[in-house]
Amino acid sequence: MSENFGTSKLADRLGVKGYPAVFVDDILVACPRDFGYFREKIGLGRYAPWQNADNQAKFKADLTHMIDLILAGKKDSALRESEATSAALNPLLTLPKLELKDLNGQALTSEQLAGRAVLVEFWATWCPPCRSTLDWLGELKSKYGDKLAILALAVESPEDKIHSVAASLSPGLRVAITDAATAEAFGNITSVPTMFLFDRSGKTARVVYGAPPDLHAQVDEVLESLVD
Amino acid sequence: MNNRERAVTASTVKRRIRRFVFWGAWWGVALVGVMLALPVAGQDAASQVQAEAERLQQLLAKKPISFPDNSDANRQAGDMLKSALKDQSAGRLYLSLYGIGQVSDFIHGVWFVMDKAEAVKRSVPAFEAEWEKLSASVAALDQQTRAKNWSDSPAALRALSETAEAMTMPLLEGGRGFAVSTEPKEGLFNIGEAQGQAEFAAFVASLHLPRKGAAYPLRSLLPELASLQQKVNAAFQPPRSIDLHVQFMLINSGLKQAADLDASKSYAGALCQYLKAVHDYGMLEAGPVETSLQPALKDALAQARSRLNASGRDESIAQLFVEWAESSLAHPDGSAPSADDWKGASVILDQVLPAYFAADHPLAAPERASGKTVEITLVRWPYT
Repeated sequence: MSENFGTSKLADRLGVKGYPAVFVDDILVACPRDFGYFREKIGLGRYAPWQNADNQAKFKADLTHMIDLILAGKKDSALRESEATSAALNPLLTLPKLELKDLNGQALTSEQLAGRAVLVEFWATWCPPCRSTLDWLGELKSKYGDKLAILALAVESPEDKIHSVAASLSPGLRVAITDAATAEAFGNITSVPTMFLFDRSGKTARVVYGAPPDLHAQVDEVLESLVD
Repeated sequence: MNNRERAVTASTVKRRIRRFVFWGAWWGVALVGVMLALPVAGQDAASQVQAEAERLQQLLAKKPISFPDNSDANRQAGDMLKSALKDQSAGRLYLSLYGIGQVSDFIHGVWFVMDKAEAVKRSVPAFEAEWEKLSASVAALDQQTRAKNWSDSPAALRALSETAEAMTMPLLEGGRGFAVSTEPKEGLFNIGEAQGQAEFAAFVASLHLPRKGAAYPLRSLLPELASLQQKVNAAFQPPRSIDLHVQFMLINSGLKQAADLDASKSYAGALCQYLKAVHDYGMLEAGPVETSLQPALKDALAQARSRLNASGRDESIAQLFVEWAESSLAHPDGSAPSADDWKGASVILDQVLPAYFAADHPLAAPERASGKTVEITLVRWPYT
């Protein structure tokens, strides 16, 4: 059967915000991120790009496997296997390992961030909401100083434009270009802006997708608790 | 990852334009000189249809639509209305109506973006307020449409109205889903479309066109839909699943709409969507029409038209498809029909019409699987 995006109670119950998503009974088998697809956006994912015979075959095999498990009465196994899929919806429990170089050529590693609250903003030069958020992050840096490390990681943007934007930002922000490993470590960034907040122990405190109208209030509230 | 900022101007409209491209054969067509006389009883409806197309033309002239990514949108919508008027004047009333429905959907979607994008900028509560207002308007129109007694109307009118009315809620809810999942302005196009579909459904319900002959025996088409879905699933294999991806999306979308209409007992709409899916699937499988066979195909089409006109039963849904075939072979600029035009006409004659006549008698319900079963659910956008 199929259900319409926006009205699926099953999707709502399991926190699936986009489409396509596939369930066997009430177990999530594949989410939009797996297809690297939501609306017209093509990204990474275990079945992406969908217009590829191997990926279609892999999906069919995975779906068949899940059906077989459930029909065999092994729902617990099916649930465990689906956890990987569900985890993709809440991708990150802790700050992943970072091994980047910032735009000044300096190493940027997770070890350097230990003991501080960390804000990681994924952004792109072609994304206006990202630009306004980056300006505001400069204000946050002024407010919290060394208690908060702010990383502005650029994705899928021309390098010259990244440098150009970075030149206009607060020098307190550490700007770097995201590599594939980092994007993957953060659960495959498929939209920007996406912001991650980590506490001083590296535990994920909040993930914010997009630039919601209450972004500043949300982040201020979390940061107040992280930097005290 | 793509430019999210472009999304409202690109992805939402691309989704819509994809549908227009699919029905493109309907629009590139005009009268070539054959004026088919409408039945006297249909004159009122024909005038109403003409007036509606002209009304939309005037609205479009007063308030042209524009999209940054499609500077040609206004001309395209205008051309679609011209085609609808030409179809109307050529006696292709149902096809003309279909075209008006498509334009209504599109321009209301674009207008709503133009009017409200600034107001809802990055504010979900502002979007919700607009959504509530528009939902109330759509609900009022839906109520008006649902009050229509279709017992004396051609099934094709009922099909067009049911199909449009059934789209309003998914568009409203899907629009809200986009707004919440991405950003508020992303949902505007779809909820504007909902208004366009609701207005069109109500307009069709208001037409004064009595049914000709006995009623077509509408019924649930679940067995046919299940059978066709199985064929489509079996056909979805590389390389066609790769090369013809868009075509498969359209077939599945048609089947999905048909199933939804069937589930709500909107059987005229379900039949129309089922036949569209039969056509789309037929286009995957059919070969080209040899040049030497084209005159015979045209003759067969004319004969089909005559048989339907002479029937003592309401055959309006079949007539809609015959109108489509006729129009695809009659290019307004006098140019020759394309290979796909010929193939489409052939599929309508050889597959759609037989499916239509086969659907007038009950088919055994598909056997339910015995033993343990699972339910597979796909959450999807219903129209692509």
